[in-house]
Amino acid sequence: MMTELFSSIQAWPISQAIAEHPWYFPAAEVVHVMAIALVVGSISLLDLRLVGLRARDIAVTRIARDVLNWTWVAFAVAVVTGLLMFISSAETYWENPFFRIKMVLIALAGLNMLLFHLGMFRSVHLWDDAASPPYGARIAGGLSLLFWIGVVTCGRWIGFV
Amino acid sequence: MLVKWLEETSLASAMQSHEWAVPAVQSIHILGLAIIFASMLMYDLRLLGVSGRHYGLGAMTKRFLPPLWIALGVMLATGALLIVAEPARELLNPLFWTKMSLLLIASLLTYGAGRTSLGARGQSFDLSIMARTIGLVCLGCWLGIVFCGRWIAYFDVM
Repeated sequence: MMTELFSSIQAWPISQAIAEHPWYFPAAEVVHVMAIALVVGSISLLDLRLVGLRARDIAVTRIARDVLNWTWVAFAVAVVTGLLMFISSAETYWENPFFRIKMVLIALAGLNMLLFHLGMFRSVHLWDDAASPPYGARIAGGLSLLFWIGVVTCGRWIGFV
Repeated sequence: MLVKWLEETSLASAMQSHEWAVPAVQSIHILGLAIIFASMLMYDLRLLGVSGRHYGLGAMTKRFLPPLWIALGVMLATGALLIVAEPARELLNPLFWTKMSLLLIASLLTYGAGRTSLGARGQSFDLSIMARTIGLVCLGCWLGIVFCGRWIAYFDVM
């Protein structure tokens, strides 16, 4: 059933246009790489602060405020360009194990962020200026870094399989 | 010439014989890029005067340039490995040389801006036309570098 869904997506005029045109796909891919660089680069600024490894003299909320807008905008661009690439060969991507793992890792990263936001972050006023944040924050930051490194690595491997 | 010589080194054959060598090095290359991107974005936008003005330029320089240089080192190392693995793909490609030229310009400008920011003329440099121009040009260069980097794959000169 899934394969039928994806092969019909692949047959859309826009999907075929992207697949066949000489530079539509490369253009989407280049923007995708820039966007993902921004996502991982910006979130790592916050994650490294949460883990207590960098910028320990700046309040966590200050860094979060400075950084997260970039992360969200860049993530949106990454999703859009990712979708444009995906639809051009939906079935092939779906069957690629690295693609699937990448999607799972993104979901896990998102879940991690959500849990952190609803949990530890609620009490941030208590540890905002701490050079070493509490364990929950450090674990969230560390997991986030690992997930995103995994996302980038899987992303690179998709094209290789 | 150089390409032939590189192709025949043992490092090149080592990288070619392990299928995962090139993508693994490329992944590290991309992660290094992420660090550079974050640092340079914060820094260049600050030079431009568009964000982070509540931070002093000197403080920003000390905070963001060191990781940028370390990440750049990682990228040069991984980049060199990638060239050795597939010398013709890069060295015979005009896009690669464009990328290297942009890298040189961006690095020199960033280094110059950093030195000036921490020097005696730091205060007058901050938010000046010169600083803003450097910020804009650097930003453009780094984006161009990523663009060329990815486009190398599509410009097969073989």
